[in-house]
Amino acid sequence: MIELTNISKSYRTDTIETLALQRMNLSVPDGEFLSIMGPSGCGKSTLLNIMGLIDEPSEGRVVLAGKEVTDYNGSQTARFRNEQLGFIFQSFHLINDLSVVDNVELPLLYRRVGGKERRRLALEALERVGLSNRATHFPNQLSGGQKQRVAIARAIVGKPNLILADEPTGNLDSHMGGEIMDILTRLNQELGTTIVMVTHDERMAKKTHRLVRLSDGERVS
Amino acid sequence: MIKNYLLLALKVLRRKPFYTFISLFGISFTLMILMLITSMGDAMFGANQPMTEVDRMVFLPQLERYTEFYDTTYTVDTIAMGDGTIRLDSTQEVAPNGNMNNSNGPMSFSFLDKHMRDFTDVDDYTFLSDNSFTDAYLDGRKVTLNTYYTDANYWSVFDFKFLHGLPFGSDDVQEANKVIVITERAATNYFGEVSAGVIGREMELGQEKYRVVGIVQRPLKDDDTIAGDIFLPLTTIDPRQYANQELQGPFQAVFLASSPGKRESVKKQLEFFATNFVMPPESDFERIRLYAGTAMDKFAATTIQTNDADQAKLMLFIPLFSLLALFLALPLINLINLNVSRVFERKSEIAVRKAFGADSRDILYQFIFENLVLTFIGGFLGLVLAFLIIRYVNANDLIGIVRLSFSVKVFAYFILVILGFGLLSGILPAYRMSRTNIGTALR
Amino acid sequence: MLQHLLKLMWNKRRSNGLIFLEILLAFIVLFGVYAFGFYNLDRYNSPLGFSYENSIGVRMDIPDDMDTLKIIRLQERMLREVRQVPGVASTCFLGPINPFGGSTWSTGSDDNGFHIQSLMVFADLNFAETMELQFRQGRWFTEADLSGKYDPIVVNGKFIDDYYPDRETMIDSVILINGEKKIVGVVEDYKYHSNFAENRPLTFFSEKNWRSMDNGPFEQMIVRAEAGRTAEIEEPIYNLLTDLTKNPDVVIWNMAQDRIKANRPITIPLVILITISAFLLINIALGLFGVLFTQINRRRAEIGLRKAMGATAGEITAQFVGEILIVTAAGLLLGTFFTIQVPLLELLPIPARFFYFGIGAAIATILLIVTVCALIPSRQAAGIHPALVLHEE
Repeated sequence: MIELTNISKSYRTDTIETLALQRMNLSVPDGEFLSIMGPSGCGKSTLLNIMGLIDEPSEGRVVLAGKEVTDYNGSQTARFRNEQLGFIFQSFHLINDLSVVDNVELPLLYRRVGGKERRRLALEALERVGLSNRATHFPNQLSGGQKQRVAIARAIVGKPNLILADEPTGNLDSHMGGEIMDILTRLNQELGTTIVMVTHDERMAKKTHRLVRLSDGERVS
Repeated sequence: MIKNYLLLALKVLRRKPFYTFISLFGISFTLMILMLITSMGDAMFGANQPMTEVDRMVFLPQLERYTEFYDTTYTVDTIAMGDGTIRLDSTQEVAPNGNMNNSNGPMSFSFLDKHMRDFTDVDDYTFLSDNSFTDAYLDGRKVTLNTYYTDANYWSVFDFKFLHGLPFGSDDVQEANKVIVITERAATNYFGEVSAGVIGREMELGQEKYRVVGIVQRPLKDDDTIAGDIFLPLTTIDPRQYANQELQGPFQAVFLASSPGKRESVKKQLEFFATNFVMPPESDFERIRLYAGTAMDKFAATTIQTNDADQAKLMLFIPLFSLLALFLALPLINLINLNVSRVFERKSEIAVRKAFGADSRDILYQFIFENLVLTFIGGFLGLVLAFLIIRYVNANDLIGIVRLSFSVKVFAYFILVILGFGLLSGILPAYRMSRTNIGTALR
Repeated sequence: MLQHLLKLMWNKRRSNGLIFLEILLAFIVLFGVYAFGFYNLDRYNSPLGFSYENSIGVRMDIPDDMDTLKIIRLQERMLREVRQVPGVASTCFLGPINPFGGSTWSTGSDDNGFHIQSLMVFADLNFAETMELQFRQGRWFTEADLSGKYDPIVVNGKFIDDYYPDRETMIDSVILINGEKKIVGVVEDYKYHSNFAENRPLTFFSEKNWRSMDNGPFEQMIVRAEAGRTAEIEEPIYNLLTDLTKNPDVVIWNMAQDRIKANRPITIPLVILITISAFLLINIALGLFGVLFTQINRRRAEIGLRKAMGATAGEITAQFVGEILIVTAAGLLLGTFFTIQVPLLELLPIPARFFYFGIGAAIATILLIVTVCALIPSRQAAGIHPALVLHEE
C-alpha cells in the first residue's frame, strides 16, 4: 500500500535548516493497521503528512497504492486524496457550519457524486459509526467522542484504501478513546482498509498490528 | 454542485447573522447608489425616446458673432554694421491681442432657413425655438407652459412617444394652423386628464385658441431641444420673430447624420460654413462661429459653461469618475477587509476540504460563489430601495433636470453591476482562502 | 509601550494594510464633504440683502416698434396700474439681470491704474424701495441724479471693502467704471444669484445707463405684495400686462420659489453627498467593528498570556485601542499630507480656512468612529479570564 524510500524532509527558514526526517524507509502492506509513536517533534506528523500528500518530501520516493506520487501536481494530489485517502485528526476538524450528514458527504462532493447517492452513502457511513440518529445535528451539539466518530464516518464514506489518523484519541478520555479504537479495528478487519495511526498512547498502539517508533526524524524500531 | 454551493452559502450566512447584516448593509446601500447612477446615466445619455437616434444627432444650439482686436507691433532693430554705419530693421506684426467683442446666442429662423438646409451626410434636420414661456390662467390657477415652436421634421428627428393623437404635419406648418402637441403633464395640468378625449379640444394661450392634435409622453431628461410642455408650428411664432433678418434669434437646429461616424463630417461642414461666412456689411461683428456638437459635447459644454467641448468633457468626467471611484472604493475595501479577516475563521474548514480532495480551484469557486450569493441578496435589496427612490424622485420631480429611468435595459445593467461588485469584492479573499496550506491549518 | 505597539503593527502590516487604506480613503471623502459643506454653510449664512418673501417677478415683451418716449409712457402707466392692484405693496422695473435668474453680467474697469471687477445690475428709481435694500451710506439714485453731470451708481458693501477699504466715505466720489460714474449710495448686500453665491463687488446702474448702451427697454418687473397676498395678485397683473403690451408673452414667477430653485445646484449635491457620506460612515463603522471583533477574538490566547503576566483589563483595552489608533494615525497622516496640498497650492478658488476645517473635522470624526469601534470588542476581550483561554488552546 505504502512504499516510502529514502525520505528526507527539512524545513528551511532564513537562518536555520531543521531536519524533520532523515532517510526514512517504510513499507506498509495492504490491510495493515500500523501505529507510529515517538516524542513530540520526532517527525511523526511530517511523516503522516507526506503519506497524505499534504506535504512533499525534500528527497526520496513515495509510492501509494502502486502509484508513484512523488511528482504529482496540486490537482492530481487533490484527486488522489479524494479517491484513495481518508483523514482523521486529533481535534476532529469538522466544519461547524455544516450539519453532521453534510460534513460526512464532503469527500463525495468533490467526487461529483449526485445528491441522493451522497446522502445514502453518508447515512450508511454514519450507521457504521453508530451515529445515524445524529445526522441532522450540528458539530457543536456533539460530545468529543461523537465528533470523532463523525470524522471517522467522513474518512470512510468515500471507501478509501488508506486511512491516516493523527492522534485520533488524543483529545478524548480513555473510555471514548477505546470506542474509537474499536471502530477503527473493526473497519480494518471488516473492510480491509489500511490504517496508519500516529499516537502517544501505548495502550492504543498495542491494539494495532505493528508499531514503528521514531526519534529525531529517524526510525528506531 | 452549484446547488450545493448555494445551500452551503445560505447556511453560512444564516449562521453568522452579524456578519451577514454588516455585509448586506454595505452591499445593498452601495448597489442602490450604483443603480441610481446607472438609472440616471441611462436617462441622460441612453438612446431613449424621443432621442433614440441620439448617436446620430448633431446639435447646433448657438452662434457666436465676434470681432477680434489686433495689436500691431512695430519692432525696430538697430544693428551696428562693420563699417560703423547703423542699419535699422523694422518688422510689423499683427496678432490678436486676446481681446474680442462677441455675442453668443441662438439663431434667427431666416439664417437657418437660408443656410442650414443643404448639407451632405444629413438624413434629416429640424429647426426649433425653445425660448418662450406662456402662462395660462385657469380658474385663477396659473399654468406656466414651456413653449416650443418647431417645424414638421421635428417629429421625425425626435421620435416622441405619442400617447394619443398625431404630430402636426408640414401642411399645418406652411399654413400656420393653430394646432398644438402637448405633453402628458401639460394635459394633466390644463385639462385635468390624459385621454383620447383631449384630442380636438382647444387650449387658450393669450388671445389665441389652439386645437390639440397630439399628446406625447414627457421625456426623461430636460434637454433644451425636447423639454417643451407644448409644441406649436414655428409659423405661429410672433411674426416679428419669424421675419427677423438678423443672424440671431430664438432658434436652434438639430441635424440627424446618416450614421454616427458621419457626425464629424456634419460638424466639419458647419465649421467650414462658419469660417467662410461673409458678414452683412452693416454688422458690428466681423466673423461667426457655430458651436455644433454631439449630445455628449453639448452636455459637457453646458455643464462646465464653456464652449470648448473637448476640454469640457475632460473637466466634467475626470472629477466625476474619480469621485465615483472614491465612493465605490470605500464599501468595496470594507467588504474585502471583512471577508479577508474571516479567512482565518474558516482556515480549518478549507484545509479539511482540501484534505478530502478539493483542489484550490474548488475552494476559489466556492468562496467567489458565496460572495456572489451575498452580493445578489444585497443587490436585490438595493434594487428594491433604488426602485422606491426612483419612483419617489420621479413622482416629485426632485432633481429637476432629469427623471430616472427604469426599464428592462436598466435592469440588465443592474445585474451586470451586481456581478461586477460581487466579483471585485470576492476575488481577493477567495484567492487568499484557496491558498491555505493544509499542513499548517490542521494542527 | 508605544515602541512595542509600533513594532507589533509593523509586523502585522499586511493585515493592517486594508484598514489603513480604508481610513485613508474615508478621510479624503470626509475632508471633501466637510470642506464643501462648511464653505456653503458660510455662504448661506451671509445675508442676501433684499426681500423676496412676498415678491413676484414678471417678464414681458414690449413691442420693438415703439419709440422711446412712448415706451417710457407705457412703463409709467404699467407701474401706476400695477400699484393699484389690491394687495400690491411696491413695484419697479429692472434690466435683464434679476434675482435668482441665473445670469451674470460683469465688467472690468481700470480706475486710474486700479483694476475693478464688478457685477452689473440695471434698475430703475423704485428698485431700492421694492427690494427693501439696506443702505450703509447714502441713498438710491433719484430723478435729479439722472440729469447730473455724471451718471449715478450705487455699489454694495463688498465693493467698498475690496477696492476702497481705507476711504472714510465714497459717497459723491467719481470713479471710472464703464465711464465716469458718481457713487450716490452703498447698500449692505445684494447677493442675487442664490443663498450659496459668493458675496462679490457689485454695481447698480440706472436705466439711463442701460439705454445708452444701445439696449431696448427694461422688460422685467418685480412686484412686492403685502404679506400673504402674493398668490392673489398674479392673475390680475397678468391680465393687466397682456392688455397693455398686447402680447400674451407675459411670465410671472414667485421669487420665494425661485430662490429655492436657484439654491438647488448646491442643495441637491449637498444633500446627496451628506446622505451618501453618512451611510458610508455607518458602513465603515460596522465593517471596522466586524473586522476588529474577529481580529481581537483571534488573539484570545495572547490576551490570556498578557493577563497571566499581570496586565490589567484596562491595559489590554488600551493596548488594542492603541494598536488600531496607530494604523488610523498613519492613514490620517498620509491623508492630511495629500489634502493639505489643496489649500497650500491653492488648487481651488475657496478660502483656505474651509479646507483646514475640513481636515480637522474629518480627523475628529474618524478618530471618534475608530475609537468606539475598537473599544467595544477590546473591552469584551479584555474581560476574558486567562485560565479559560489558555485552557482552550
